[in-house]
Amino acid sequence: MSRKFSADQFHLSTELGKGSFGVVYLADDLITHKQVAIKQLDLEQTDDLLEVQKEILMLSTCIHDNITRYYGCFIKGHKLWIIMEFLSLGSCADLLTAGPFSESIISYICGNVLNALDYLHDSGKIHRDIKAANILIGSNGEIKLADFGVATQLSNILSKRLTFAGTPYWMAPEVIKHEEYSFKADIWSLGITAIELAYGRPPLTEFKSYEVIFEIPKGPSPSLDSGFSEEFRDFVNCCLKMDISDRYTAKQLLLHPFIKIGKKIKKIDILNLLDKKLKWDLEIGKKAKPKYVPTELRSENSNKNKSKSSSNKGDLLNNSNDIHSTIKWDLTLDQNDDGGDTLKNITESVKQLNMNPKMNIVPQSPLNYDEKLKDPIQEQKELDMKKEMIVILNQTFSKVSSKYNLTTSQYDQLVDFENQLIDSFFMNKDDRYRDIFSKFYKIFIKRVMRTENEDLKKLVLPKYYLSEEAELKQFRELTGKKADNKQILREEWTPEPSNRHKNY
Amino acid sequence: MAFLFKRNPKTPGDLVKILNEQVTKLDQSNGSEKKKAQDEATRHLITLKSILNGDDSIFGESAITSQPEILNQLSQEIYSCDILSVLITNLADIEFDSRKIVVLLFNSLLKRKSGNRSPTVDYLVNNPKIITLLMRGPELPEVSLNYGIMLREALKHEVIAKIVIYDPLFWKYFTYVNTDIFEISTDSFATLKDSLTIHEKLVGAFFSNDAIIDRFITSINHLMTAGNYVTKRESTKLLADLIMIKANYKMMSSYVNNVENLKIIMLLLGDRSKNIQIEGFNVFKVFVANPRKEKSVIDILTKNRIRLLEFLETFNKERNDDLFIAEKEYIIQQIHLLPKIVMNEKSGEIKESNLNGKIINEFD
Repeated sequence: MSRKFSADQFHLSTELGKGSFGVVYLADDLITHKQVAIKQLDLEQTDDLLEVQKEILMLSTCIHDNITRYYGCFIKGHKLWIIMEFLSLGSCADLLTAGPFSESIISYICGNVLNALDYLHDSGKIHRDIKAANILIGSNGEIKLADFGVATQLSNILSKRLTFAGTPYWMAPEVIKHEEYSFKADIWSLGITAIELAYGRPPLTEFKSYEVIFEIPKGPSPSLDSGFSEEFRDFVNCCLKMDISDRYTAKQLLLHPFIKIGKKIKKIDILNLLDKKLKWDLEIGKKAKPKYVPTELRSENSNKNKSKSSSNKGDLLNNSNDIHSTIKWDLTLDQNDDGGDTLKNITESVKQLNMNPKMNIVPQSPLNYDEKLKDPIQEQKELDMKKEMIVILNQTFSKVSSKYNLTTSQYDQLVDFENQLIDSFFMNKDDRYRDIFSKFYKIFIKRVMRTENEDLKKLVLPKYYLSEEAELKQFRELTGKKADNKQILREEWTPEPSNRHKNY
Repeated sequence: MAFLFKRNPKTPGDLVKILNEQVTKLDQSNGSEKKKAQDEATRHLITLKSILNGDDSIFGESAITSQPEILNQLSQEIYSCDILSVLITNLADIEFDSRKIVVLLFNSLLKRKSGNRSPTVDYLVNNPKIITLLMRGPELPEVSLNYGIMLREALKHEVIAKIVIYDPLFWKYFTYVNTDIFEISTDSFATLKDSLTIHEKLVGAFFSNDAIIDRFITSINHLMTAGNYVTKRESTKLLADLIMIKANYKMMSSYVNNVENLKIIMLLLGDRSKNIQIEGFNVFKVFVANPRKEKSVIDILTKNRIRLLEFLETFNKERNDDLFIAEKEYIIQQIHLLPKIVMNEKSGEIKESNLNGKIINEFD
């Protein structure tokens, strides 16, 4: 901690992630020549600085092999830069896009996370945000818990206004009901994360995030289906006890038979995950993340990306030499010449303090990389849709292939069909064809739904739709009512930040 | 067979004695011997932690069953062998995670009550060097955060807060807050803030002395002008909080009767940061609301009448808090009531203040 950090010691490159808390960048530490992750927190968005300070205090008093190391932080303008250890394989959530993990890998990950949780809980700390996206993997296969504190705390502060900021799928029922916030909440979230790693997504994702907060406390606890081993299913059940006193502690879970399975996992098994992911990215044509582009170029694009750029506001402050003077007061005193001078001295010294050369590390939105013609927002939307569809197809495929013993030819035909679908919806070079295909597909489904031939319906449509057509009607009425609720909720939750922005 | 020579404590008192020996060794030894003492200290501290956490199986058969009794025995030995100052002095030599156990021990002792008294507070008052030791924390980067947590726990007791604010070291905190290391800066600020806000009566008496008031105003003004974003925002908030406390009346009136202070606050009011503007407003309003304003203060306010009114008109408009709206209304009204004529005493000229919205500035 004795090192004094400053912005000129770092060379920012790729954007690693974005959240309610700000942006995370990959950076070169020009002093140690190591790669680090830098999180930029916009303090102007935070009502209570003491909360941030408490979290930094917590970060700096945690050193554990399974927790990403905190190196230090410093203030730049109104942003707090937090320097953290960088783990090159990314998060479990990233790797999960290429398909669910095997049980032994899940066991290995859970064991490592439990070590970290045991350490935290033992020193009276709660992580509050366990999920696959916060479990990072290093190049030696090491597993580390990240985003401990700051991000969560910030979203908690935000949540005073938004009620529930972020995604509540991993939240324990008692947290949602505002009953109690104990370290057992982390154990629940770990159980949900285990399910996420096994299926590719947490339970209840069929609900919107504002609906899921009603679903989780209702119970029963989510569980794994019978396709998984007895040990794994029991492990998840021990994490997901509705009653906090029944729920296991990290220490107890470390002794669970399921954790033993992962002990034989080697570095190569973890690296294989990355391999699979890279191949998958190639297959779906995902582009590499953009490299950092110096600020000089940025001005040309800055308008185009205004909506996405998170740092515009920051530039105002950072680039401005006269940080003080949005308004020019007349502060001269007629009868007291000294007064004017003192003030001049003060402003001079303030100016000098803020005269730092313009910050030329303004990050670049990753979307600049894309073709000029495309609207970056639309592009992102498509990417998200594509990702989601691939996840769904993967889940379907793994379910079918585990249920039925596929021959090579059957396997290949299914893969072909999957590729056809992805191509026609997203990948085909002919834009018009993609549109037409989407229309074609929808009309086809609609016609099947309307057909009088019940056998055809049975063949093509899910059982759910058929047997519950009558109930679907009721369901529709219900959702009609629900829509009112949602409306009310949305009004309450309307965030104010958009107003706050205007004031700079 | 080294383990045969390891002494395992039989009683809480024993444990403190052995720990004391090991920690004292840390100071005096080097190399492998030091490492050994460090490991031993860690081992005993972990035992100590279990005791503090209520695990009473440590002492086996001869165990004293009740938790308060164990703590009682522990603390007797702790006071008599002066282990706290040894632990604190050598904290940097103790292993990273074990330092937190020392903090836990210190804070648990402070919370212990014996009747109406707090024995640890009495002990610290009789051994103020421990407090002085803790106050040096910001100069020791490795342990400054641990020191800060302990010091703030002690500060909750008025008698200790009194030692802290009257210690010459207290003024160093204004310098510590301005250090480049964020953690130390914010930790020092937390200590500074707690010392001045928790015990209102004590601080009110502290601010009855003119020399202290002057020194405080100079120091906080420096933080509000020369600090980084966080320091500026936090120190302005601290000042705004302090001048609203009744017991600090003398300091408040001395602050708002000096036009130099008003200039600083007006600069903050015009800061680009919304949050700093808001904190600045909370000080500014007192200047305006003050029924007996100094002439120089009136002059500056009058000169800027139009701009102030323009600024306040749009200032924080979306904020829906009744108290704030009422305050803003009042301040606007008070500014309207300011005299429209500025008298220049030096030259005897009478100037009409900016009826067209232009500000008369002789130095332009």
